[in-house]
Amino acid sequence: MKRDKDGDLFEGLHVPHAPAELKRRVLDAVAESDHRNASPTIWDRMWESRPLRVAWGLATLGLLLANAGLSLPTSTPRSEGDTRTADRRQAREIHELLALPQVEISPRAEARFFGTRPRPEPTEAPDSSGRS
Amino acid sequence: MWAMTQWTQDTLVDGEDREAAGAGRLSGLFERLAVGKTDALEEIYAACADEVHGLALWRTGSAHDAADVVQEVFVRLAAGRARLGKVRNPLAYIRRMTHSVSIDLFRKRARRREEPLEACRFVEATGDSPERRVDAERASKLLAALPAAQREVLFLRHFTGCSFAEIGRITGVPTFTAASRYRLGTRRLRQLLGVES
Repeated sequence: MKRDKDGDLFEGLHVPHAPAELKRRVLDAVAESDHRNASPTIWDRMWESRPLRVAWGLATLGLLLANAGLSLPTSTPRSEGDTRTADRRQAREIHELLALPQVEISPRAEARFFGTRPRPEPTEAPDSSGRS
Repeated sequence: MWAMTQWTQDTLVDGEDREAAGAGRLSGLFERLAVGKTDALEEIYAACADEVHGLALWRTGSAHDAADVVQEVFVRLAAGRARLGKVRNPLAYIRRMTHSVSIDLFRKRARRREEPLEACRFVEATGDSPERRVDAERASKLLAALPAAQREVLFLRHFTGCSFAEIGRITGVPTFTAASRYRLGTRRLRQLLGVES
């Protein structure tokens, strides 16, 4: 460094040094700042991280699209013939359910179960051939 | 101490060599701080605090504000430590940051300034000579009459040995403007002192 030609302006003078107590204050401020920034929340990290922001945006977009896709009506409405066939199938199923096989219980078995006198056996219709 | 700043006119000899050595060591400290070794910050403080304080003092014209600037500069350094490893000229980086923080603080506090500029001691006497102390008080009053931008250039040129190009980069003005500010500042100071240029 060259001596400046205007050096005589400040001959015998110097700039004041930084106050001695300032060092502790500065280091404390740095430590406090570090502590404040040390534990960012998930939102801070998301806000500061580009990949996380992109991931969040894509996830939100995907959910919106999925929701829209489920809410929209189907593009191919069912024809009248299809509806009639489906109705007929349903009616047949109901009919099958109602037409359960009947169980024949003999009077003696019934009396044994309930402890009562047996009902008279139903008389069989005479054979058309005349044999009993 | 290897500090780059030259605080008195008597210690200007070998300033360039010392500055180069200091810049190299400062780069090493920046790299250490960048990898998370926070103890490097104390060494950076020891190396640069006086210069940062001096530059802030001459820019803001307030000892209180200068202390705040020093604090803010080191808080910013620590907060942005991850980037420090890439800094090629650490000293210029710190000077630019000091300039920027000083401007911010000066603008923020310009309207509610309590300490009059005349009370700010921009320079102190070297030694115990009563005449020097009177000179220092007078010089401080005269410096208070200068615009902050001229005072800043005077400090950078006179006490840190920066070239006008460097001063321009630090203060964000063209080299010509930095030189012009210096010329105007010294001329005005000489007029106030009653010294012929």
